[in-house]
Amino acid sequence: MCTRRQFLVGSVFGLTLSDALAHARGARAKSCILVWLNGGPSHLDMFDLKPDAPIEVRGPFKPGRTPLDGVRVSEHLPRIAKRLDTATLIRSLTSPEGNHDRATHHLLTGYRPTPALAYPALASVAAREFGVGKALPNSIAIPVPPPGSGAGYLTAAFDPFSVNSDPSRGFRVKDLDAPVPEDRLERRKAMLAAVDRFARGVEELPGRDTFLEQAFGLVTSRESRAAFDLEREDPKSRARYGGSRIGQSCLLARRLVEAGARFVTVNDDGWDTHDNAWNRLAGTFNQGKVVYRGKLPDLDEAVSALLEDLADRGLLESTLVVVMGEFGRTPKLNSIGGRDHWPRANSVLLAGGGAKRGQVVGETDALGELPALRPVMPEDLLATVYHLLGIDAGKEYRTSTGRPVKILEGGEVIREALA
Amino acid sequence: MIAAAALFALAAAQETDFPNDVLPHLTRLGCNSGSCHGSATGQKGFKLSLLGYDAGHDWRAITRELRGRRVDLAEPEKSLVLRKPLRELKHGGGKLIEADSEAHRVLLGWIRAGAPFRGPKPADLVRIEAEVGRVTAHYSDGSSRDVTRLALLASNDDAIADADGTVKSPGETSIMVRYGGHVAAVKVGKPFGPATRIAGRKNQVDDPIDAKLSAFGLEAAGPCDDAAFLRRATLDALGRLPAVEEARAFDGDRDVLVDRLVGGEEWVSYWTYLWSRLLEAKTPEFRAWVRTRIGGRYDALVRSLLVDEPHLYLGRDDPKRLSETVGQMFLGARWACAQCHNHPFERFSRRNYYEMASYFARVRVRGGKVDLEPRGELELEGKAVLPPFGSSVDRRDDLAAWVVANDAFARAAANRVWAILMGRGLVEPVEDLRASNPATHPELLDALAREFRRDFSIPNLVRLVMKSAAYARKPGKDDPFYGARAVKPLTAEVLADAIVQATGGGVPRAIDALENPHPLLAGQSLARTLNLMNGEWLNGRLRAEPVETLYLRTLSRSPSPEERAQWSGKDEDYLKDLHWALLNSKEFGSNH
Repeated sequence: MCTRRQFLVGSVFGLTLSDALAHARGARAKSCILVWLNGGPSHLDMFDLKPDAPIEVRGPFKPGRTPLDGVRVSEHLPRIAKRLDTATLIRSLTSPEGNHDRATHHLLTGYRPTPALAYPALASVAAREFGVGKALPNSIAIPVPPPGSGAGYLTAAFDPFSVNSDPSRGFRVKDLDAPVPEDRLERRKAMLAAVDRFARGVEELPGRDTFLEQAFGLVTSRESRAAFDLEREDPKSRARYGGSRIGQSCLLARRLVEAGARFVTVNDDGWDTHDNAWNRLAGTFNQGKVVYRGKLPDLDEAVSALLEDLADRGLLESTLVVVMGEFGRTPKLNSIGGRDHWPRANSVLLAGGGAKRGQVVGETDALGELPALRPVMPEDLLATVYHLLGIDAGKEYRTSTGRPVKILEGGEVIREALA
Repeated sequence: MIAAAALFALAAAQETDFPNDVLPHLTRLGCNSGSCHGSATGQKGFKLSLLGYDAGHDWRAITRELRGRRVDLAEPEKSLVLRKPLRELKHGGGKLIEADSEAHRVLLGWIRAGAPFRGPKPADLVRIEAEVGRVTAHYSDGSSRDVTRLALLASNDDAIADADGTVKSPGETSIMVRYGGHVAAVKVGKPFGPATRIAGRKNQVDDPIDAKLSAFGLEAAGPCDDAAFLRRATLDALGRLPAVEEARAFDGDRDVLVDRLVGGEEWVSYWTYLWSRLLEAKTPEFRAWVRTRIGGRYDALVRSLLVDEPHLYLGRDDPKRLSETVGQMFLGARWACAQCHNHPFERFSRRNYYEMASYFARVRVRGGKVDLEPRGELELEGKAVLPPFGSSVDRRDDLAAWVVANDAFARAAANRVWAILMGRGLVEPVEDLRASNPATHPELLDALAREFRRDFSIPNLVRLVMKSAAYARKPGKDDPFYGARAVKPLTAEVLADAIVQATGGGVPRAIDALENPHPLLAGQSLARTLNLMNGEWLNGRLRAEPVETLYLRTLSRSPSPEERAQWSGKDEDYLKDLHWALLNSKEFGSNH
């Protein structure tokens, strides 16, 4: 129930009516940062270790302590481990799709892929529900959305805005800077308005005016441009996230959320560890001339800094952080020092934005093969995220053929994950 | 009175046939809709076929599952199938029937009669007949009955008419009628005002268009001026802007212009691009082949593509995908949904789906070549599915002959050509031809299809449409009456080429490239807008030229006196900024 008085109070703080309604539905999160570990992070080497399993399953990593009784995670994630008292760790996500793009589509849309219809992913539903945004787009992908996720039948107008650049090296958002000084940009804007005014009979071009207004807003808004400018960040704070791609991407995500963006996807590659997994995850490995540090220390630094920074700035309560990838990896090690695709068991970290603090939901069996307790389907996870964001997952969209399709079909909110 | 009561009792006693008497009520109540028990996974363990396409399955689900609790033959009133929708028990779908309503009476009567699958006189529904306010079902024994209250009705545009056929505002739409797996459509509408007179007819295309405008009391916009026609026709035929010299030289003879533009080498290039998108021709070999065929007979092109050439099969050797592709590309039919359930808006069953796919059951693609296996069949529910017609060794011969002879083949092609030129299909969506989705101008679609069937020539069909008065109107409101020209956004490739051309560049053309060589993204988006606004690709091409030249280069017309008066600056930056504004304008970014 939203009384007139509450509504007025809400308006004072700049909430729109739809925000107020979302709040009334129990929304806790204003924004969401999805940290997507593209390729399939190994649940057995990160959040769901099986130290008592046979050697061909358990792998070389040792379990490390967390503040939660009896809960251990990989020794290579010590900082995230320390923050687990602020998060919900789900260990029983399970899905049937073992191909990267299909699994991603399933996990981010809530629907199994079908040739008949491409469903919109979380980031596009957010763009649609939150509006395209004025000076800052409401859905942003760093650097691009994960393959297999997209706007589907909602069309390209609801694709997230891709920054198309790596925040850790020479970061520059494509086409954000006007090639002419401010006074000429203003002149161009005025000239364009005049040309359009004279245009003979061409009153409407669908979507064009919206994007033009947004583009001018983005290019000319100091606040928006500042949000994308990592050089403005305090060097200490910058260093805290680590110099890695995922670290600087998480930092950029925080800056964007702070500036008002509603949904930011950090899409990090390199998690498809079929071979040489221990070096890829925790050691060093060479790719051509570049020597990479392992994925886990980078992730540990990035996500722990993100959670701490958001908390320090008072943003964690209103920002839901989701860390996951499209599937887990085979319990049994393969012959080339890695693990292959395993969608039947996967782990997810939820923090802030109304997710419950300090608990583990679900567990897998002794070998980490299948959920043994509280299986969570992709649609259940998405239902939970939509619930926290105040998006009504039962809402029906219409496809181009007029077929009614709900945002989600049949997912149930994971009640125990809610604060 | 007595007689009526007796008749009523008799009718009630006979209403014990599950498919004909009971199932329509379940469908009408929404029990088997996609959001309730008709969803792919059912609801709370109770699954029905979508809109009742599989009566046998539904009868078993109701009478056999859950140890007979759904129907309780000993105490019919206690059956779950009654108590749930009466809301005597918790029901996620809410209260759906009232006690003693017709639906209640029929369901209870059926259970009391032992919940049989068929009644005493089983007859199959053979067709439905629909008019405004009345739906009649016809059965195999020659009987018929009024099923108006049980049919599912849906308005294709509920701003114009309600599902019951009540017209709310001027305009035209159709009501889709569904009953027992059969579909029909009824057109409804009302005029905007008294009948009008439409002048300026040019060819037979205009007759149905003008007749409808007139009947609905609408006016037609006058013909566009010569510069606008030249730009429009050149973009539609060649996918590029008229050159500045062409704009200066055009003498205003439009039919001569159309004859000159259509069918030549440049036309072939552009329509190869258009048709390659439709045929999903992504390899240079496939495109080169389309190029050699697009100006010739279209039926021969399709037959050859299905039987002789490997292109369609490469990367697509699953029989089911192949049959979906054939349906969508050549017959304007969407079959994909029927893999899992019968088409909800069409008479196309899962069996039909597998039958179509069976024509490709023996096709194998190896090393870029298509081979035929000597045997191998598709299976549906454990049984082999065989082609319903034909006996050729290569089944694709039979399929190809059937496709090109099919009524939908010419209609689908005509609808596509019309949509490319006029901005919207006579049937929308363009690939969704079906009885329940009628054309806005059925006689026009028939006429175009008939014309096309004479020689299966795409260029001839293009010329016919481009020479009509409907094609040449001034731009304006985009509606299905064609009283004005629809404004169409340029596709990414055509826009990229137009920018190159309007900035003085030349070949290569984006429409000829497999990968777009320009950084333009498809569809309106923030990223594309920013790219055109700030990107080096466009900004690096700007020219400082006289206002007259800039207008001719970009908008293919001279500036109006008002526009001339507006642009007073002369310096390089000023003219470059004007060029930028023209290139980012709506007039430039669209074909109008």
